[in-house]
Amino acid sequence: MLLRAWFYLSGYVIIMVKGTDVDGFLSSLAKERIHVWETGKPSGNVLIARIQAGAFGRLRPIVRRHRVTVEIVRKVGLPFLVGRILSRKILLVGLVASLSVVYFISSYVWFVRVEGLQTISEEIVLECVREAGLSPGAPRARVNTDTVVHHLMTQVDKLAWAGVEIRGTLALVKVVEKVIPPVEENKPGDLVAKVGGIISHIIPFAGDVLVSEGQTVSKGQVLISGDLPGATIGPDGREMPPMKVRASGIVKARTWYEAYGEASHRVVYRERTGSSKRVLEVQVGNLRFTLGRKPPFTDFVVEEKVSTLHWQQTELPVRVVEKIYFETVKFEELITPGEAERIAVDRAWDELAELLPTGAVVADRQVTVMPVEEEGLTRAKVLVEVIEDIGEFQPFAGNSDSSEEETGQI
Amino acid sequence: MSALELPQDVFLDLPKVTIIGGIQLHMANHHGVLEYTPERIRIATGQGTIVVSGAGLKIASIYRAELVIDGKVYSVEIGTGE
Repeated sequence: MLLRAWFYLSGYVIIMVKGTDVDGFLSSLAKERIHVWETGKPSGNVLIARIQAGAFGRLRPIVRRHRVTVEIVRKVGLPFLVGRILSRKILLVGLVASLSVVYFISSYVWFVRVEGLQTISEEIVLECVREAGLSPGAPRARVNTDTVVHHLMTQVDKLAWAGVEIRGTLALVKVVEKVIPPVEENKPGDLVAKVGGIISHIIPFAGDVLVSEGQTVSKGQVLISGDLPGATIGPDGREMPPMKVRASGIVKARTWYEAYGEASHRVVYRERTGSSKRVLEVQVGNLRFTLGRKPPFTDFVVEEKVSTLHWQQTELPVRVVEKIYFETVKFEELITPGEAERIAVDRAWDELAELLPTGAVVADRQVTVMPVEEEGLTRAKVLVEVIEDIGEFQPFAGNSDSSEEETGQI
Repeated sequence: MSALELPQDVFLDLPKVTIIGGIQLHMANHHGVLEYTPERIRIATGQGTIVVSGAGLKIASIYRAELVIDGKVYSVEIGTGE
């Protein structure tokens, strides 16, 4: 068995010998110390035999002596296999090329993912790690995770901890943000109206009140001024010099909000016919290739299932998108004016809910419904009156930190 | 000769034949193949011709003085001097 393995490794040929004295030829081979094995005699003057490839050249004198012809039926063994592979150059080049492409691609960072962000924007972190040399396309060997972490910690103030881990072609940046208690602002300024309305209550904490209850104010109007006139009498009975304070207080006002909603008297809905077709798409980067044809449905809905390919926890830039087209039929249904009205009012309220400020109390409401017959729909308008705090702090323009010394409270 | 306890096969160039269960035959010290058919193989030796008869006979290996025959061996005739 070991001998067979050696023959395979060194290479052997299967020869076909023809002539009247093939038996004598066989004996001569043995005498010439040429190993012959697995011989066969398909007929009287034909001999099939195996000899080592290296011995083939020594056959010539023996062939002449016995007047036989020798033909190579097949070359077997490792040297011939290697020779065949080497002769297929394109295959070899392709093999080497694809291996080197895989090696080349895997030596770069292709994805940078940030985890643990809460208030800091991802762009800031990505920009910061890019400055430290970590960005998609960076050679993995050149990315020093310690440097990146150090740069992140020094450049982004709000970080409590940062860590960088490179998994294959994915760089994972993990951060933990600091929890910073809100700082009480003490810059001077006015309290202005953020929306227009009629003032209902005023509770000033600091500053000079410029408006009164029942007064109509418009958006941006100063309600409590932080700019105190000079003639104020201080707690000690003396006149105070003019000074600037941070105006604050609660200024409640009645304000109005309105919103519209519409509902068509016809409702269109789709129903699946039950016939569907599956189409596969391969997405490489931003390119999409469709495998197979799209179905000939005139009306349909599409469901997409995206499968990503992973290699050692790294997401590859190749995605397989499975699209299922469901054929549908449109149906139209008329609804009663009452139903349409209900839908229109609901929509108006939904719209209004987004406009109302938090903490506002609805004092009054007014719902108007207008059917628009020619357009086949019902329109609803909801108008509400709310009571809310309209005060909004606005620092003095051009007032920098240097004026903080003057800041005071009444 | 026997006093020296030398192996006679080597010393006198005598053929040594080993038959394994009638399916394989090993021979040492042959002088070449005289006839080779699936039914009969005649081998020259220092002591005349050895004739192996059987069915589906094949020379599985032949090298210098060693010879291996595969196939069904029915009989082995020694030294017929044909």
